[in-house]
Amino acid sequence: MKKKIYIPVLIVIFILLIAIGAYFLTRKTSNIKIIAINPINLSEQISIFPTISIETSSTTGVDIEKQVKVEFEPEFEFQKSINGSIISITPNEPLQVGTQYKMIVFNNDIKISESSFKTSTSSQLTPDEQAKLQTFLDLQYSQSIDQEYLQKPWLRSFPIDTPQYVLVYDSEINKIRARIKTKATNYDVLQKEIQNKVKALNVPDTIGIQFIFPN
Amino acid sequence: MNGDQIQKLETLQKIFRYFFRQELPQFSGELVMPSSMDWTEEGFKNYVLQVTGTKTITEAKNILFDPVKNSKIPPVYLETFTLSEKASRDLLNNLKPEDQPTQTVLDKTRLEELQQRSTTNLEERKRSQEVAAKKQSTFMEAAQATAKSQVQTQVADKPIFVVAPEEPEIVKQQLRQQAREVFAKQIYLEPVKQPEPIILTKQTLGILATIGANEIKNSEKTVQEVSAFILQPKNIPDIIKNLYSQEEIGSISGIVARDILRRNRFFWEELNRAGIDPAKITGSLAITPKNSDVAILKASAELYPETEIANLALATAVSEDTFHAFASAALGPQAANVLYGENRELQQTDTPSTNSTQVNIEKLIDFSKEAKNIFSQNKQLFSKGQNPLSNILKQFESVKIETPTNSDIFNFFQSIKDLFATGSSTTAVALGATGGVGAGTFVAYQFYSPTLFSAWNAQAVLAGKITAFDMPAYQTFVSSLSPAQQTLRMFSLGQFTSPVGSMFLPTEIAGMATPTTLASATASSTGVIVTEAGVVGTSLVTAEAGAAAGTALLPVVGTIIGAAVGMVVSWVASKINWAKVKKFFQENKYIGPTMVAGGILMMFGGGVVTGGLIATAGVGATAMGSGGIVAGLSAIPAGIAGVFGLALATSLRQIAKPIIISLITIPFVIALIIFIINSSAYVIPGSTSISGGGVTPVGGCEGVVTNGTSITSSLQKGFWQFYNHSPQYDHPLDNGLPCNGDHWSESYYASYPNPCASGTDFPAGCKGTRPVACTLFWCTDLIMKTYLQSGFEMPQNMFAVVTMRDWFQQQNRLLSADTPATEIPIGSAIFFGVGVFTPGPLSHVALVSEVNQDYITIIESNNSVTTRKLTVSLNGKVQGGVVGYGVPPLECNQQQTAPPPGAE
Repeated sequence: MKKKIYIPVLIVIFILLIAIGAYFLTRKTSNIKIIAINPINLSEQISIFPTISIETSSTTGVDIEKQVKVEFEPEFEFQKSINGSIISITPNEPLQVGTQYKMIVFNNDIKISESSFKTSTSSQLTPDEQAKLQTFLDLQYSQSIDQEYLQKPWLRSFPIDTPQYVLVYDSEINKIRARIKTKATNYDVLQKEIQNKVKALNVPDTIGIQFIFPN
Repeated sequence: MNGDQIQKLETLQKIFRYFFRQELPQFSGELVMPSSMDWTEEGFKNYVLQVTGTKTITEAKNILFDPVKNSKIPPVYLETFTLSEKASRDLLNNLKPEDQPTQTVLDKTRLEELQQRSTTNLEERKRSQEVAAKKQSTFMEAAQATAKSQVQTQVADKPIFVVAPEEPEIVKQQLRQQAREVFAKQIYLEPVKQPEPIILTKQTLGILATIGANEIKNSEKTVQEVSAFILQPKNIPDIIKNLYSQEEIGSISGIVARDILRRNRFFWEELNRAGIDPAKITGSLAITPKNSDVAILKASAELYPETEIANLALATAVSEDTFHAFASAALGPQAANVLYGENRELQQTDTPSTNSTQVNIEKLIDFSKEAKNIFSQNKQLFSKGQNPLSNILKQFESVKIETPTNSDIFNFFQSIKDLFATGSSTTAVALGATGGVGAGTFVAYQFYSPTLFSAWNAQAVLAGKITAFDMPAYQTFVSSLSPAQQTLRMFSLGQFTSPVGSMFLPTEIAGMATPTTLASATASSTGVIVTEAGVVGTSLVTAEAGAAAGTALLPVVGTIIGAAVGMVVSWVASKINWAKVKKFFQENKYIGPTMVAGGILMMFGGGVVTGGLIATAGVGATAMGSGGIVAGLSAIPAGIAGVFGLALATSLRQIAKPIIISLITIPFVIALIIFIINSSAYVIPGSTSISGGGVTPVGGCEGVVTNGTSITSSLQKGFWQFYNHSPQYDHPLDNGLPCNGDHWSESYYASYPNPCASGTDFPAGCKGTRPVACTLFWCTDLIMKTYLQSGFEMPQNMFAVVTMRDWFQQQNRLLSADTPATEIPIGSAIFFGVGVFTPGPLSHVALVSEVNQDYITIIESNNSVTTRKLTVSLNGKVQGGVVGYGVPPLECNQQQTAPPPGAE
């Protein structure tokens, strides 16, 4: 009886082994190879707005989108598009100027290609490339400022410069710094005035005021 | 036939014509038969029929008057033909000339006789033509002599030539009065037929230019030396020897040599010194031969430097194509044809001009006074000597003039003159027939060699033909001669004034009188009738000399020259503040016209190319300074952009082209403009911009903030609602041109006011690709333009902050972000990283306009605001994401406006 049970188990195991073997044997992904890469390995003076393309040996039916992955060092975000056997990569942002980039291509997490290229240095950028780069940078910078002001709307009110005092926001100490310009025997009134003014600007209470008195 | 037989045959023919003239209609006139004739009609008819063996008179005629057939008449008949001696003699003597028979007798002797007669006729015709030509050629001399006699009668005979120096005013007054009387007569000159020109082919000139260019390749040579080299028999190909006499080659070689030298030794080298590589500019021209002319040059001289071919090519393109178009627009097609040739071929026109006009003597004198006053204010500003132009320019850059006078300009030109006066044999400095501050000095500093003078003399042309152009308002300026001479103390008038001009100027005056005593007077008396003289052979030769090599390249010039020019444009344009130029010419209206006048006169005086350049620049300047301000201003920056093919208005383009070339090829035109700019001379309330608004830039360190504030205060919101539209750098007419004239693209803004900055949706809702250079006024533009206006050297193509940062670093003018605020000069470029408090990658730049111990003030462009204040930490470091500073030149760094920390 035991013998009868053992045999079917062996058959099932055998079938499974055959199925697994067949699976791996018929996997097409293992056949993908890199035909060409642009920029070619070790190339220099590559535009910071490069056209990166990878030509593969894939055939119809292979899901390159899922199987093939591309990584860059330093990293950058990009858009990937597939056209037949060619993968095109468009960086979302300008690449860094004068920087060596490493490009690694994986097929199902298996590294199948590694190459590098170097972008143009600042002196090699064309005027138009510079302008395009600056478009992004100026907008990025302005956006970062806007975000700061959005978080700290009262920031736009500083500095305040009067004959008696100067108020600035000192980000290093995260306080309003109040420099008193005029000497006096009693600064209480002036200090109170400054405190009221800061409060009127909706500066959070967590941001204190540092007074600096004249020597 | 023997002579007797021939004679009898002729007699037979004559009698036949007498009786039967209806048979011989080809003989006109009336035959008068002498009374001694002893033949009757009937008897002669029977005899002729017998002799000719015919039956009718018509048949007899066909034999008798046929040279071949009548030779077969049996001699016996002729021998028996009788006519009384008297009748025969009378018959011959009474034939009217028109009835002289044609050659109807074939005879060797007769043929010889006719041949001899024909030769005689040719010689007679030739002599006749020579007489006629001589008459024509002496026509002007006669006219000149007549006019000169008139002048001498009224002027020269007066004891003015021995007047004591202490009485110059009297002399001048007398001369003025006498000159007025002379000119009141309205003397006009008729055009004269020009002497036969030497017909040159481009090939010839090209070969000669090649020879000459080779000679100067590796050594300094004078015009004479180069000319002599060209003239050496071993150097002249047979093809030229066979075409021209040695004298003609001598004339040509001088011109060619001068042309080569001027181009290669002077302005191209100076462009080199200015950092512009001529080879790069025009190399593309040289390597793009299109036809046989260039091929000849190439083949004939491996030794011919490529750049020289290119230089000649460029100059050729300028002189031929551009200037003709320009002159046609500015002066009229007739004048253009006179100046440049109708077909711009080496062909002299035989059509004399009929235009003539008269100088207003009163205006002439007024102008003379003005010019003299200007010169009298002369103060030495710039050092003289053998300064190359670049050194002069450096002086201009370093010397700031509070209120420069026109005498400063004079000194400037004096320095330029010194440049020309290098070499032992460059002796002559021609003053031309004009004066004044502008053109007068230009013309004055145009040097001519004795070789060239002799060449002119040999050809009996030139010596400064008096020109004419259809610009009556400028005629005054054409004629003002002596002020420049007075100051420059150059050649006596007789040596450089035109034949026409000399006609009005007694030789004694030119030779004896000193410029000092007779300056104004001679200016008056040398006022000339302006007459179109037609194209002078030598003038054209001059124009074509340099042109020879490059004319062939004309077809490609149109496409290449823009690129070639563009390389220069960035340099030139970076030096120019057009508002100042505009103002300069507005306030000095005589400059433009005199440049025109001088330039054109120079064309006739031998410097066709240069003259054309100056003239055309002058017209541009005039357009700026007079009613055509808009056009003039539009023309220059548009031209500077170097885009010839753009669809500008035709007239605009025609003006712009030569100005571009002027700026490129004539260093001292460039220098003049640079001088105007750097001198800060013409500061007026108004505009730094072409389109208006703003404050006139202030040079130097103290001007940086002023200029920067001027720019930012006028900024308008543009793309992304940022302040990136600068009216100061938005030329209304050069939309779409490269950056030099315009930093605002109306069309792109209209289509994509919110263009994308990255591949994603950034900024939100964006449409359109990233703007390219000069689409808008970038943050970096503020730095570049501010520094430019302030007279600081800075490349004008650094649109990315990283490029600008690296440039400051290369200049050793980059300070770290930790630098205390009090050590940051105002006017510094301040670089930011992304993020206000935690600086990230370099992303933005602004200009430091104010510094104190608590905060600094910055001004900026292409941001949502144009000014901000950044806190200074207690340790002195500026907050706000600063990543570094680019400081102005050293001299500005030493100016510290901020009080030390802790100070009140």
